[in-house]
Amino acid sequence: MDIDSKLTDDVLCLTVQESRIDAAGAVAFKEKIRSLVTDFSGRVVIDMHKVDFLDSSGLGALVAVMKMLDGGRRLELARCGTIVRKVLMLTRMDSVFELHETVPSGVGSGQDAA
Amino acid sequence: MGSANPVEDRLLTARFPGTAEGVREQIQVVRDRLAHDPDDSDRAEDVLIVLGEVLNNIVEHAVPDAADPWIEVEIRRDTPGLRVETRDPGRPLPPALLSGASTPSVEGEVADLPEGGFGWFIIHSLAHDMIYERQEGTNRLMFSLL
Repeated sequence: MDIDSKLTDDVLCLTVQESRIDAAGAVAFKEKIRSLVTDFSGRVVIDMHKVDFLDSSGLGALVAVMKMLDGGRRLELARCGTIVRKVLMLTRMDSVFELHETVPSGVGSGQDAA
Repeated sequence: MGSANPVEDRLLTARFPGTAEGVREQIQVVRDRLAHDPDDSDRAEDVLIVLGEVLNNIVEHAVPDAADPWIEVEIRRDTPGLRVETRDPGRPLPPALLSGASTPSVEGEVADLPEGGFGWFIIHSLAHDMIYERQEGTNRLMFSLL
């Protein structure tokens, strides 16, 4: 699972460089993110713009990632595609994550990281 | 509009290994096949979402112990919408799953949020006219996307 990471001030932006978070990749996704957020206490934003498919296993992985964030932090998801948004809305998980139309300003997307 | 010829109305027939990787590849095949129908992009997304859940359920619950865990998928044009059929040689589907599912609660503390149980809720939210049959050890599940 290829995920870029960029830290700007105290916001960690993780850009998923895969087109799907599905049953075949959910465990690898969780473990990769765990390694990236361990001991980090700021905001975590996942840039989802390359992800064009999310299934319920992938959704469960996103929930598991939010549980890794202590101190009551919400997991933030930016630039979700239509299928991702549909799955989040159907399951009402759109109210659980903090969704952004764009990567929050001041946060560098991993996309343009060197 | 809809032709009476079932062969003509068939959009896709496929047989593939009943593994998570097999499902991933097949979802991409279905996406490419349905992409030729730009008027139906909303329905195409629903097909991908529902099929992903149905196929992953087969992989996880029906065929994990099967000697040859194959899955077959067929998608046909219907009036209205699309009719989807899956077949597998695995364990029977528990009938209770066909009659609907409630969404796991998303209220409360983060630590208590569900990490699973969404699959059948998603399926029932989008799929219609679901029929399940078991014949000679093969599961057949049929449903429509309107």
